[in-house]
Order: sequence, then structure tokens, then C-alpha cells
Amino acid sequence: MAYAYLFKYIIIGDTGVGKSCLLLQFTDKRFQPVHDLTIGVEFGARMITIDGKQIKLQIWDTAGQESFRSITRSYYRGAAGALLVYDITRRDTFNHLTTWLEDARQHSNSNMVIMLIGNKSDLESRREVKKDEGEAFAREHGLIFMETSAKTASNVEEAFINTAREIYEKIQEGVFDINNEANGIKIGPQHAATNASHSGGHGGQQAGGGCC
Amino acid sequence: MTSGSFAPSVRGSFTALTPSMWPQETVNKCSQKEESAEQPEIRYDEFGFRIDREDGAEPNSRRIMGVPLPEDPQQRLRWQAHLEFTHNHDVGDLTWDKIDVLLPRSQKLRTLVLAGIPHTLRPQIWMRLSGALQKKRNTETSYRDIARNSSNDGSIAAKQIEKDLLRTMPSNTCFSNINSVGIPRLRRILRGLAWLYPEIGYCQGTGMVAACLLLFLEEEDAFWMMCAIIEDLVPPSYFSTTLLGVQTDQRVLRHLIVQYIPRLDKLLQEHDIELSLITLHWFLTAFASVVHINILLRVWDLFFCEGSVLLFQITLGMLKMKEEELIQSENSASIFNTLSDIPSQIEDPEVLIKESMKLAGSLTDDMIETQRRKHLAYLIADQSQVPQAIMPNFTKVRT
Repeated sequence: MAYAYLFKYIIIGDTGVGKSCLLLQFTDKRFQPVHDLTIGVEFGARMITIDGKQIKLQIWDTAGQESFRSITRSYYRGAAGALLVYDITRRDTFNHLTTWLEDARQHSNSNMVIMLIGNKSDLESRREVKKDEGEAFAREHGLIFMETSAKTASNVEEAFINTAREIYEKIQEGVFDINNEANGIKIGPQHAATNASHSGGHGGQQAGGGCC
Repeated sequence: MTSGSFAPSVRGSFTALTPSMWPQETVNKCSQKEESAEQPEIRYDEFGFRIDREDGAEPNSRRIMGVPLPEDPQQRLRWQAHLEFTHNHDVGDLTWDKIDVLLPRSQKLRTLVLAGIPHTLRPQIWMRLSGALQKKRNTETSYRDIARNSSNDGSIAAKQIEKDLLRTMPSNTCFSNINSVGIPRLRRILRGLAWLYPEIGYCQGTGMVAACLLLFLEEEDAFWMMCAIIEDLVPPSYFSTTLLGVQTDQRVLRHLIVQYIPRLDKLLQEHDIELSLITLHWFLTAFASVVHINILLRVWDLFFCEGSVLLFQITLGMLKMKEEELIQSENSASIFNTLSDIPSQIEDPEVLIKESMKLAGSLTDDMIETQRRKHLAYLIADQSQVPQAIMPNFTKVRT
């Protein structure tokens, strides 16, 4: 299917916080109570619409265990968005956020949009991390924040789509150089053709102010 | 050794499992349902894997059946003859205790392994091919002691293992819930390994290998098989926290692709695809939970005989088989998808093994070793890690 833009996302966070389940809920709209362990990376894609434009999200799901970090680092490069996930029922996964964030900031491009996600919001009775704490952490580090449940699908769409919206706005503001694929953004084939026919390098509709 | 009173009879379900793994509860449930002439709700294949409704048209999941089970009697006879002539010097019946703990390598043995080990002989042959039986016999610390020493729930490794037990092989009835027969065994093996190899601790991925072994071997034997893999079959630091060994192998693989599949090399370069993101998993688990179990059994026959050179040969073979499809792919996403899907699309172990050996059969340990030394140095330079991180696996019970 033709798309106007392709955004590359990565999902990061400690092992067992629900990264693969969030991806599965978003791409397939289903929940698998016991998801197979992720070794290395897995990969999903889905089309969304923002501002009437088709945007393809290409999502890379990573292994969370510490040892795998040196490997997964290589694909921070070239991501436009990151979902940094912790588990609201496990305090340690929240405590590790700083390390994850440092890693992400160090190995990605500086404009990467990071969404902080407190997952498993359906397990209210086992909650160990207050929503306020997530909000405070996000505020302090300039992240967007949401609590989600991959199980009930609560806020899952929103998490992925709001991140895309933020990236889209950055494109509009000209923050992202969309011609550099290392930023994790690609102009769709159809769209690129339209631009070419406009010629003159003004970027046609896709720029939407982005060329300035 | 049998446990419980029911032998599996449910249309081939569970028949390939080691008897002590027969999931009594599921067997009972299935046979009750059969008696009441009702269709059992969930079906299982001979390995205990749930058969999905979608491909449930074939009730026996014989869709991917390269090796017919029950096994080929001819092949079994060939193996028996080989074992008798090479090892059994007495006149009389062949019994396992008369066969050496290690099978001497010969062209004849390799030919037999290439054609596949008869399934009922696998446990005994795997133990003898890999060196696991020798470790079991020579160990100063028995498995029972290792299990006892590592039974502490409190360690970091134990906590992580606990979280992963049900995520290791959720589609198999032997590992699908906390009361499944395989779960306590898997827990003890993983804890035992973390205790025996403190520099490894618990590495995600080893559970998949251990779980697959547990389908066919008794717990203690599966444990010593894991030790043989960690100590002898793969190079040092494969599963350690640095993962340097398995990462090095990804670079060696990349180098071999330049040599063996140059068109694929060009494609990966053009699209800036980091192949290791996909293949690291294949190497780390020796294809467990990557290929269908029928393929895995044949690959492991060879892996336990030849060691890690086989991982390169099979990977190159799989990539070669899909070379055309990859080159036809339109963009990097579809190349990445095609690459990820390759193992699950392999249906015939004969074809895979034939292609792999045709392409890379001449690869030797020495060739791989030379490349490993070079690429390990590059990798350490890249990661600017201190050389202490690559200490070889030492063990408390060096055999």
C-alpha cells in the first residue's frame, strides 16, 4: 500500500515489561498472555493516518536482557521514535529507565521522539509505580508519557499514534531532515514521485513548511 | 523408565517424546474425550506442540515431515551395524553400556549422521557424539549436587529464570503452564547452569535449547548436553554477559557471505541491513525455536557431531535457498521480513542439508577459527572492551 511517510520505531525497556505484547496488540489487535521470549529483534508494521496522510510505522521490537544491549544498540541508529516501556507492577523496571534513556540518547539521533510507557495498567492491584511518578520522570526528561495495557488494549493505539503525531509535527517544523534516512523517516514512493513532478526542490506538499 | 500408567495413544500425539515427559494430564484428557466420541479441543503433534486450528486440516501436522516417524528401519539397521562393528567386541546382543562414551569420528559415522539418526537412538547417540556422556561420567560434582547447590530462589538468575520459564516454549504442552511436566526440569537445569558457570549466569536463549533437549532426553542428560554445548561445541563467551563469542560469529558469517553468496552481500550492503539482528538468534539457540522441530532434530544430529561450523553451513544454506526471493524484494523492509521468515519456511530437512553441504560443506573448523580470531579483535576494538571480558568458560567441575 502506498504511504506518504515511513517512520521507524524501536521498542525498548527491561525484559518482561510487555514490549512484544504491545507490538502484537498494535499490529494484530490481539493479546497473547504468554508471549515467546524475544531474542535479538522482531519486526512489525502497520499503517496509520495522520492529517489525512498515510503513514507506515515500521516497528522494531528488541530483547530486553542486559547482555543483548550491545547488539540492539546498533539499531537505535535510524529510528525516528522510541517507546521506552516499564512495568507498573515492577519497581525495578522503572528504576532502570535512566540507563535505558542514556543509552537511547547516546546512540540515536538527537531528534528521536521518545514516548515513556507504563505498561500493565490493568493490574492496578499489583501496582508498584504511581502514575505521578511516571509523569514526573517524563516531564523531567522531556518525554511524552502514557500508561497502557497491552492486555485490554487501553491506550495502545494512542501511544503509537501520538508518537507518530509528534514526529509528524517535527517534520512540519523542519526539525527532521526527511531526506536523510538515518533519521528513521522515509518519504513514500508515491509521494516522492509527486515531489519529483513538482520539481524545483520546493518539496511539494510533503514539505508543508518543512523545507524552510 | 516410565512415569504414570498411560502411554500416549492419541493419534500419534507425544510419541516422539522421552517417556517421562508424556504429559499425563493432557493424555488423560484426550483419551477421555476420545472415549466420549467427542473431538478433542486441542490437538498435539508427536512432540507435544499444539496444532493450530488454521493448519488443522492435517490432524497429524505431517505437513513438514521430512523424516518419517516411526523411523526408517533400514536406517536403523545401518546404525546398529555401525555401532556393533565399531564398538561391541563381544558376541551377543548390543547394549548401550558396551558402547564407548565417545564415538570415534570417521567418514562412515559422518555419512550416517548426515542421513539422520533414528529417533529412538537419538538420546544415546547425541550423548556420545557431543561428549556429554563423558562429562556425566567424569564429573566430580554430580548433577544431583549441582541441582541442590543451585536450588536457592533468591539469586538474580533464579528470579529471571522464573520469569522466563513459561515464555520459553509456550506452544508445547510440556512447558505451557506452571504445572507442566517440563517446567521444574527446565528450572533446575537453568539454575544449575547459572551456578556452574557464574560468568554466564542465565542467558536468555539457553532455555530454548534446554527445553528442546528435555523433550527427548532425561533431565540429567539434558543438563550435560548443555554443558557440552557451552564448553565444547561453541567457542568461549557465546552465552556470557558480553555475548562476544556469538557476536564474533555474526561477523564471521557476514564475511563468509561475501565469499559464498556475493549477490546477497551486495544486496545487504545496498540496503544497509544489519543481518546479525536476525541471525544472532539462530546461532545463540542453535536453531531451537527457530526452525520446525523436525528440521531441528536433523540439524542437531549434525551439530552435535561437527560443532559450530555446522551453524555456519546451515545458515549459509538457508540464505542461499532464498537468494532469488531476497534479490527480488523491493525494499529493505521486505528484505528484512523475508530474512526473518526463512527458517520457518524450510520444510524439508533433506533439501536444507543437501544445499548447505553443497554450498559450504568444505568449510572447516580451522577456517572458522582463523576468521574468529580476526573478527574478535575487531569487535573488541569497536566496543573498546577490555580483554578480560573474553576469558574462556571455566568450570567448577572441569572434566
